[in-house]
Amino acid sequence: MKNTFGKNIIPTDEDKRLEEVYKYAELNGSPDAYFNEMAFIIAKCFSAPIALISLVGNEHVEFKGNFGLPQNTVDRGASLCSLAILDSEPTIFTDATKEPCLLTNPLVAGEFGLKFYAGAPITTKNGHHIGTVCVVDKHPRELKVEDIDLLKSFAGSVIRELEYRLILADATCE
Amino acid sequence: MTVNQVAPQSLNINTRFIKEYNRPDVGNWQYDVLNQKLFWSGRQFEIYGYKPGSVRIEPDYFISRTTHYTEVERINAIIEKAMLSGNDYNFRRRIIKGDGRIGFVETQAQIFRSPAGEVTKIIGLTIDLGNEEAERKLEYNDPLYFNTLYKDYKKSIYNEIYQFVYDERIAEDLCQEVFVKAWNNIWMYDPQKGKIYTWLINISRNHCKDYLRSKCHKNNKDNVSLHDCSYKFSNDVHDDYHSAELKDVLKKLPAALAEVTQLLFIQGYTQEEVARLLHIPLGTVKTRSRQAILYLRTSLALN
Repeated sequence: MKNTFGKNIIPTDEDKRLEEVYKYAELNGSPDAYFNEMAFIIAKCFSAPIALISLVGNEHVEFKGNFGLPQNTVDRGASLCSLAILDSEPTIFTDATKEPCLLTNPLVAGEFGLKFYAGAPITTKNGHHIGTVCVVDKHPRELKVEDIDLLKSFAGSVIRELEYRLILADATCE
Repeated sequence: MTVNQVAPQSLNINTRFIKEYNRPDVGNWQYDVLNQKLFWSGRQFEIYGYKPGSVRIEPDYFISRTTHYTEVERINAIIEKAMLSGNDYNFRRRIIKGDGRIGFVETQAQIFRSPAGEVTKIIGLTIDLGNEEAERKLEYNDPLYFNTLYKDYKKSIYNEIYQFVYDERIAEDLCQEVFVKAWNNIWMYDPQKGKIYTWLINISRNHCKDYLRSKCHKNNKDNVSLHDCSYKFSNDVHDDYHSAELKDVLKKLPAALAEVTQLLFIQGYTQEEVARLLHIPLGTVKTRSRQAILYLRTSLALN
């Protein structure tokens, strides 16, 4: 994993966190239809060109819900979601070009031209951040407090959905 | 890197709707109209009484398989109207859960259109109403279904009521009252116990019994015509005393004489009244009554 942020992006609970990531979902590169639809709603809510529901794995960040991006996986060292899972509160870059830690990031500095990122962590009931619900734009933006709450509520919906699926998986195993 | 999907236009999503959408106790769903694919959240499955993912959710599943059959028509009409107008919609309805139980839910939905005006997506949420208060309110704003019910069954219900009261005007009034009663109590109807028609018939029978026991009906009885009253009175008297003997003698009388005797001596009409009733001259009444008396006197004397 090539870290482009110039700082540690591995959280202290990494082992247990990864355990939970794989408990909830298979990281096989394929998105989930339900979460794709949810990403559409999120993008619509924020009038953003891109909205993602990501899970942060060992090497890659995988988008289980993807609205607006052609690929479903990004290197963990380049994805801003890796930063967002370090904090229990949403991570927001209103203008990424002004953030020192993002200067070498290929998404920001490269052709894609990422300017705005807001990501709320998806937190399991054990307190581990397995991924994010995030909104991305190519223009700098400001977010209101209620917008941040909205993003958090979507993250809540995602973990609830994953929990429900886990119950199903357990029931099937019995 | 290119963006593979068209960016959504301005923020036209209802934020209040989204707040509800993300509520922990609310189930949500998305319907991709273009690809005819429906997606349910885990909570949505739970509300409908299924384990998440345990059934394959087909697009028509939502209405035809989960809606209580008495409401399918009403719900389809609401959705059809919304699809045409492009307006968001909501309704409350009775559902049949996966395990056969009856539930009550509220559905709210938002419709998305392409710039060309084509409906592309519908997103919705389902609130489990499950409590009695919510059930009571279920039909209040949805008279469409009840109108159909009224049209289909008013004749049968009216006929049933008429068998009890034998009065067109009263039967009509009672029929109306039965439907009002049903309207107010539709939430109590349980399809597992019988058809809606049976339920309505039971309401009407009970309502008729209540009516027959009521003060109103008893007062009406006080105002019955003199004809019925005198006939009844006379019958009562003779039933108590010599009815059997008298009936035998009357049977032997020629029909014309028996008729006059019945009216004059049993029902108590005057000779003028009998003439009017039977459309015969007064003289004929007098002659027939004399003949009858003579005949009866002879018969009774012989007995």
